[in-house]
Amino acid sequence: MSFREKTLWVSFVLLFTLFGVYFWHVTQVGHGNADPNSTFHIFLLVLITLIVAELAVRLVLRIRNPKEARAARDERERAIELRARSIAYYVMLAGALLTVGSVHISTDGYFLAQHILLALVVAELTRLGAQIVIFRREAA
Amino acid sequence: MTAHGVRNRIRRLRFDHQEMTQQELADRVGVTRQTVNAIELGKYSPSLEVAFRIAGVFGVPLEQAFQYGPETEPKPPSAAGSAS
Repeated sequence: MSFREKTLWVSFVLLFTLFGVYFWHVTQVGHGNADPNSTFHIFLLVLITLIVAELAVRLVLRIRNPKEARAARDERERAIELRARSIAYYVMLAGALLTVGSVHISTDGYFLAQHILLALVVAELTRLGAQIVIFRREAA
Repeated sequence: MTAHGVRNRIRRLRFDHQEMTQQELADRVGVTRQTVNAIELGKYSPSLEVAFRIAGVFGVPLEQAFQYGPETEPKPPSAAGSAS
């Protein structure tokens, strides 16, 4: 597995896990089992953990693969990234439309903000996941 | 025929050039080893620039390294013999 693929997996797993915890908390708020005022603190904690963990793991990967880490993206890698961005755009578009649709159910600003954040996270997971899938498909 | 319709003889050319590795070719062309592998397998069609660079490494014209179009099936020997 190439350096680029490894970094994509790291980003995907960290984003999925940490925002999984965050959105689990949001569902608890929805059920009345958690305090909505703690959401911002959890969001900050998730964001900081994500940045620190990603930097730490990428640093380890760079030390293990110095040559690959230094190399610029080649044309195939750039093409894969563009294809993945294109797919993720449609996911974000669908998320935005669903968020607009959710206003007809509830106009609560708290949940509206969570819907927007969920759309962004799902779009980012799609961008990372699509790249992983395309890399794997072209390697086999 | 590959999925892209572009075929190549890179593996053969590497073999003919002192069994050059994919990594060596990738370094000389300026792409990753995975990209060379994807090109060889016909899973990725390179840009003209990279195709020319690959052909240049082996010192052959572009059409000797890459071909486009359906693979031509060799005619069965019996058909050739019956015609004469």
